[in-house]
Amino acid sequence: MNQSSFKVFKYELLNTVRNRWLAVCSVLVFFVTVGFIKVSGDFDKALLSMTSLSVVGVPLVTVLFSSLYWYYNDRFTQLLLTLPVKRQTLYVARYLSHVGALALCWVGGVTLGFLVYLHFSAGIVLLSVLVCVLVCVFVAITMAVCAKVSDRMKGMGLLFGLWLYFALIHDGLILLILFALRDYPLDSVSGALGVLNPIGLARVVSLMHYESAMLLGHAGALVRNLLTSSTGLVIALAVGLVWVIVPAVIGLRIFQKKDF
Amino acid sequence: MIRLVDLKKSYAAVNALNGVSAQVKPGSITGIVGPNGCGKTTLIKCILGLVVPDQGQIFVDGVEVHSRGWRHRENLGYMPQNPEFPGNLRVNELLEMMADIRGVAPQSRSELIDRFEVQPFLDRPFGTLSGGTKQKVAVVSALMFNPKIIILDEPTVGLDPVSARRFKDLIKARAASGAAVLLVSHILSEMDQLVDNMVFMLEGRVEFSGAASDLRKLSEEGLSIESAVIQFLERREQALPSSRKPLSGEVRS
Repeated sequence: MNQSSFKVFKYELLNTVRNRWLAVCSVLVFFVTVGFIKVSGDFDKALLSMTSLSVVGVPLVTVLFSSLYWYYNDRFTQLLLTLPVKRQTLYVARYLSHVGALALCWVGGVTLGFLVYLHFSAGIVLLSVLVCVLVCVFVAITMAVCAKVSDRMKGMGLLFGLWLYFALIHDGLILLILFALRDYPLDSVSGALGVLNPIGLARVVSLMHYESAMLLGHAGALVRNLLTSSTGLVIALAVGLVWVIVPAVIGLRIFQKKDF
Repeated sequence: MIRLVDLKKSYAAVNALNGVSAQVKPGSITGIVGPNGCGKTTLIKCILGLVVPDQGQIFVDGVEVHSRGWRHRENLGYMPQNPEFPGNLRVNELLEMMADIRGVAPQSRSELIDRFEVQPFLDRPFGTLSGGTKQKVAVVSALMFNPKIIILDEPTVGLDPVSARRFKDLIKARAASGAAVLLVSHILSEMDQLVDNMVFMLEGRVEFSGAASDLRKLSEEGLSIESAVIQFLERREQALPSSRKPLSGEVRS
């Protein structure tokens, strides 16, 4: 991050972390975490529940918050672009501020929930890493969609549709394909299809830790075998990186050519 | 100085700018008028770099501005019609942000804060301010660096009469000290008070470009820009659907 990006980032982050909805979300995550611990009476089970909630909840909160921020601050974005600032600088600064604020909101809520009971484990670190990766992916997707689609309702509708696809429909489609072609050996194909979904990928990586991937999502179960090998983990990391870089680069290109 | 040469911009089937050429000289106030949808906003957005023209050139101080250029904005102060800053930042923080991003110390911040009585609001979040106070904050943020080029889009909308008068005096003083001021407004009486030169736009074209006094002469009474513009539009409406007739005696771009 260069000096100009850092300056814009500083004020974008300040504005974002002061957002009351983000604070409400953080408090909610904290109480849900405490609730899971109280109900289950077991830290591992509570962490498992929070993980399965996070892999679906983090992308939803990210697309909602990031798109609302984008559309409501459209005129401020225009004002910033009348200052001696490159478009790329503004885009990078906004991306990093959203990633920082959203990751802090969710990870902070979960971690504090466990720290209340003076509990800390490797599982919390893993969950935090997954939350950060999911936030990175979905902020990139959200900003690319918002840069392309100027109409607020269309943009938010498209983003909600994408979230629904990644959270639910993708798994259903894989199941349908496997059912239709059940007479053919499709394990590796279905595994490859599974990693095309960032939520499915996060779900599998996290739940392998609890040996319960088979229970959570069909794509999750299919990809599990692939990811147990070291090659598989490298592939998972590479796919995660691609899911961050591709939408971020596409979004930046759209933003640089955009007419306001 | 800003010089626009044959600017063209279209959105889908609409020609927002259809070969616009004009210039804004230093030490003068140039007004842009025209009915809604005539291309005024697109024109200033092209200068600001918010819209990339399909064709044509923009020169600022003799240097051509490229589609991704941003250096020319170091000397440019822009005040939008409805200023919007992040609602969670305090006014003080916003002004600091502007200075921080520009990387220069504001020369007339205190003077403008006093002139527009913004002092009591400095510690308040921007989102809690009234429309008029937001407008005053926008004036301070746009002009506190003493920019050489000032672009104003309906600047007095929302300002109380006293602040509007102070604002007009300020703009005149800035022009007198050498700034090139470009003013877009629908308030033609305000134009009459302020501008030295006029650009009258219609359907993405420049119908008149020249001294404000020359435009006034086009009205039957020869008294005001307002009557000249209204009479021209009425005459044009009566002439439709016949071909467009340029005004006689003016510089047509």
